[in-house]
Amino acid sequence: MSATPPPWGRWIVPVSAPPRERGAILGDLEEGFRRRARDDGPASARFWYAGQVLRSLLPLLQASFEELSVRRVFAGVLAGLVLTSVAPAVVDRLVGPGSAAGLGLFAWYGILATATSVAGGYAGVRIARIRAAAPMAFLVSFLYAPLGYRIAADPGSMLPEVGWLAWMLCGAIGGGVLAGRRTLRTV
Amino acid sequence: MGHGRLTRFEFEVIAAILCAGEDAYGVRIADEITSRTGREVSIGSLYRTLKRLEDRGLLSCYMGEATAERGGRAKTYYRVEGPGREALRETTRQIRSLLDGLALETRSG
Repeated sequence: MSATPPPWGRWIVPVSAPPRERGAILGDLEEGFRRRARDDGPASARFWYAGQVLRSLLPLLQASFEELSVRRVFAGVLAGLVLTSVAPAVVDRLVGPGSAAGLGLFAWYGILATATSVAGGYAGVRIARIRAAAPMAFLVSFLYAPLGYRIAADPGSMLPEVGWLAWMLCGAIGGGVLAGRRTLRTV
Repeated sequence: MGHGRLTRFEFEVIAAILCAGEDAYGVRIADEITSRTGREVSIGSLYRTLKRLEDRGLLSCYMGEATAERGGRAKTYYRVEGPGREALRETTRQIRSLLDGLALETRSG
């Protein structure tokens, strides 16, 4: 029976590392893991691997952020804004504002908002080719979902404006800032 | 000059690459640093630094072979370029100068 590294580690590294370095980093971790598994046993190797992944997370994210470029940030922000504002507007036109079509409001502000948030984040990911944007997009959508529910419960409140603005900002910043490929140098 | 100062870790990474010679890839560089300094290096920090040094023109890299031990993934080998050697020399000179100063202080004290 051959030892295998923790699967979550194999997921975190590709998500956080800059695209070009992903293969080499995973290969190095795999090589180190197998060497330790052979010399010290599988438990020690897994411990080492987990420690390496956790300690590498921040520097790899920093390296990914250092690859940001103004053009791609702009493209990401634009894509996020279009997806998160135009798509709901189109549906609004189709369904009609304030329509009492079943679960309309909830679907509108909750599920749809979440879906467009994820889609917006995903567009940023596709443009940026930085997978670190994916968890950010999901985080933004989950943060917004409860807010969407409250909006559905009380559509006349100020929450729509505040929530929508906050969400758009989160989407634009979360999806857009991550949407970079080349470096905005900090050094 | 002109390539900036090296941080301690950058200094260690360049020195380790020179020590590893033709076999300077991630694991080997990390091993060199650990064996010479006693500190374990995180792969993430190492690659971030390698990338930064490469962007500054101090290192270059090329793809190597993929092996089964690495899960079929290729190695990335690193080489210290002229500006990298110059930066290493300059930093070494600065450290020596600093230590010389400290030695004088110790004697006079």
